[in-house]
Amino acid sequence: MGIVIDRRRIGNNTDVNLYRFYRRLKDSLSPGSFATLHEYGFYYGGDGEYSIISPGNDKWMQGDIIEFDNFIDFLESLMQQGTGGNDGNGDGELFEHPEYLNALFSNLKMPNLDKISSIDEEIVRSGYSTTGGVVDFMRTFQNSIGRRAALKKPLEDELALLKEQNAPQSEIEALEEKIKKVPFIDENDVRYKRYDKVIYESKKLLIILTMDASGSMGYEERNIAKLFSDLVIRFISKHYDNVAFEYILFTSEAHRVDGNNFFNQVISGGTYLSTAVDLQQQIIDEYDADWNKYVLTFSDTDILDSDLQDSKTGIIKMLKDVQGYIYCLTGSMGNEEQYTRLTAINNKFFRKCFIKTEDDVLNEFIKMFS
Amino acid sequence: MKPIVQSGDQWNMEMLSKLSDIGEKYTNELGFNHFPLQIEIVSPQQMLGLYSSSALPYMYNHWSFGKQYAQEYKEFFSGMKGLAYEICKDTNPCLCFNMETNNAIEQASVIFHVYGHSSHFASNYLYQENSNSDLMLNYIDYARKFIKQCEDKFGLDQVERVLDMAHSLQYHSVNKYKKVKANYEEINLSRELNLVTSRDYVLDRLSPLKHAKPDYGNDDGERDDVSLPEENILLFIEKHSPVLCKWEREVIRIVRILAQFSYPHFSGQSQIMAEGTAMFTECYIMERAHDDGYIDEGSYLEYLSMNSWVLYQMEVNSKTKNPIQSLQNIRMNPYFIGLHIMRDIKRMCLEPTLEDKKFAPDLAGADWKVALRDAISNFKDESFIRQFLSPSLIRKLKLMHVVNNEDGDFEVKSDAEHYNQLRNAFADMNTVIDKIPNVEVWKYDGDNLKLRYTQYRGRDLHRPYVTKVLKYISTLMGCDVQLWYGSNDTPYWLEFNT
Repeated sequence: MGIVIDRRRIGNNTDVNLYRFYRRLKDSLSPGSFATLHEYGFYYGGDGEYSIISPGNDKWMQGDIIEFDNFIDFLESLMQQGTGGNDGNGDGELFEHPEYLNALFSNLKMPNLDKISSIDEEIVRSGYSTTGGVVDFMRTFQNSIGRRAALKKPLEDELALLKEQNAPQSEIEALEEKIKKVPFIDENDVRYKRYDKVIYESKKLLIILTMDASGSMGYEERNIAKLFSDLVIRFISKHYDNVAFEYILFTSEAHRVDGNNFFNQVISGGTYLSTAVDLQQQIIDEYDADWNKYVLTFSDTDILDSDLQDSKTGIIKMLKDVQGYIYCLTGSMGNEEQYTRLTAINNKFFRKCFIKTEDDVLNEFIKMFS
Repeated sequence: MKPIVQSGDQWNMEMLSKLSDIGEKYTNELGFNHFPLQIEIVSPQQMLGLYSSSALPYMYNHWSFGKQYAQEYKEFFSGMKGLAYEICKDTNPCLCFNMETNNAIEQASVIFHVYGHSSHFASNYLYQENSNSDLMLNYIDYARKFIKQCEDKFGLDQVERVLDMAHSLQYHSVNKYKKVKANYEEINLSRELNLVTSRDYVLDRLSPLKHAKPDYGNDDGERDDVSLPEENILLFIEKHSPVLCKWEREVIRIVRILAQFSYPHFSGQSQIMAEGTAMFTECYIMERAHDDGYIDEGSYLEYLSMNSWVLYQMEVNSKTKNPIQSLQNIRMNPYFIGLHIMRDIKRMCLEPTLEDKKFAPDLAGADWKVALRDAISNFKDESFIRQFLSPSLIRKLKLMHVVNNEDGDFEVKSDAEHYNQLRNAFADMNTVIDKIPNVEVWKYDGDNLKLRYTQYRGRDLHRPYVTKVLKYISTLMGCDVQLWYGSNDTPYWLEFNT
């Protein structure tokens, strides 16, 4: 007779293991920790001879060469299969865990988030009180049960004693009357729900993302800018409620675009950074003063000297209005000289970084917002 | 007689029980020795969880199981990978976890398939030598309790540290040749659990003391001497490390014993045979059940079409859109090759051609059930292929052998005309050493531990990980560690140093 068990209700052990994994993930992200998400071991890798048996004798014969594209991936999948070790190929895999970004963002914050736009009030529930308007029935009845029990018990004990001693009927009836007269609810039992006013500050954020869309920005450079912007958008959307995003694409002219176009539109042209700076200033002026404004610019700084002077004055002027201006040099082929000259600004609201390849995006992001 | 499974049916508990009974009846008809089945219904989330705890319903906790679960979860729910219909484990009774989302005919095929697996677990010598089906669940229960106690007393981080280090060495911590089947009944569990009480606890709480010669029970057999070279790295560390606490030693012992239990599985030595047995049994029982009227026509046709994708074998340069699948499917599908070889054995017994009589004279005219029983019990993948992969099957499946060359492309080394070459190459691919590098403890003099890796086919190890593992070993032994490379032709040279 086969035994059949329904295990669906019993559940399994994975919650504990998942919790431990997320804990480990968090540990591995804090700087200076030795915790790692890799599972080490002695595995084959690199050079060497590997065999495959496969059907196909009707197409090839001895000595033929078959081209194969991704031998490295094949080797790595061999590493996983034979021993059952399920390790990802480097940090790229780790990035895609759903909890990774959450764990990452919890340690980061926007710089100089000072401006408070409004002070709001909220009414929250906070316990009970003896006065008020709305009665809380549960508490009231609990109190009344307690009071009734306390008042009735001695009388009931006495009644039992009298019954034992066979006292006259009149006395028993008198006592029973007394017991019945204990009131069900008393004024002192009643409890009311209590409400409090809570004051909290709401902050509004404006983020302007600017990308250089000129001819010198190739696919890789634009990808870096888009990855960084994507991280910024996710990070801010997770933490803050009142956020507005503005997008600018600039070549020799600056265009204000929407999110879809920022990530998908392909345009090309020359590079005039000052037009973008002007447009940024224009957008900043459109919003009220109680918004926290941040501007991010991605470019390879392939600009002329005159343009550089104009942009620099524009940025310095803008720094009075913004809470943070971040300038990122994207791509390993970026013009470092112009970049150094442009970003030689000593102001607490100004930050800069140099992102060379796509792999550096995450590290720079963490550094920028720690 | 009304069939048990009619097309369009959904399953219910009674149906599963009846299917289990007829599965048993036909497996006995085949004459296979098997463990009784214990069928458990699980949801897809639970099935994902079982993948990461090697099909055990309970196991000690570790973050790596959580990581595997998160990865499988992501792959499954983003559609990149499908879930197996069932998963089973070599315990007695054989635990068979069925997915609740299977329909009736899928459940039927799954149950019959697991009867095949159960026969393989019960008969095959590899499992009898390395695993202990009766006591496995008890031992895992003990392991889980012990580790939990250690976590409570010594802290989660401490235990995790030891487990991480032990896990990195677990595939190199089995006794391949000197087998000692420990009598786990003699393990007095209460004695083991007492390791973490009062007096020992105080001693262990301090930083580990250097003992002259550690004193602990010797229920593992006569392996107390420092006899080198030693293939079982964790055994060596457990017995000879001067810097480990008692509880740390016990944790290491647990990891290596569990590794020994799952040695036939992780060494990849019996996948083809396991799946071949299971598929053959499944097809046989399905056919007989259909003949006897338990399964009706519509369900049987559905089963046949379902089977065809399980048995599909890709060619070496075929590409699918799914990158994970295309890489894994290039390798020989064990279901495919296993079933074909088993069927071929039957054919060679019943209708041998002249060529078959020359290739396997013992099979010609023998009882095919006896021949299959013998194959399942006494062979592992390597010997199975060498003995039974007949020339006619090689021709029929159009097999060929390719090897990578310096450019990362493949070169065809032998096609179906070079039978012996291909058979040997295929058999060699299914040895332990083709999947797990041979790293063993070579020399130890108290201050310096030398490991050696015997190169196989010129392969190198995955270098970034090697340095980390050597650091782990250095921590566990409290001394410097070196890894030497060598091969049968060249003397050993020093490659890694801590």
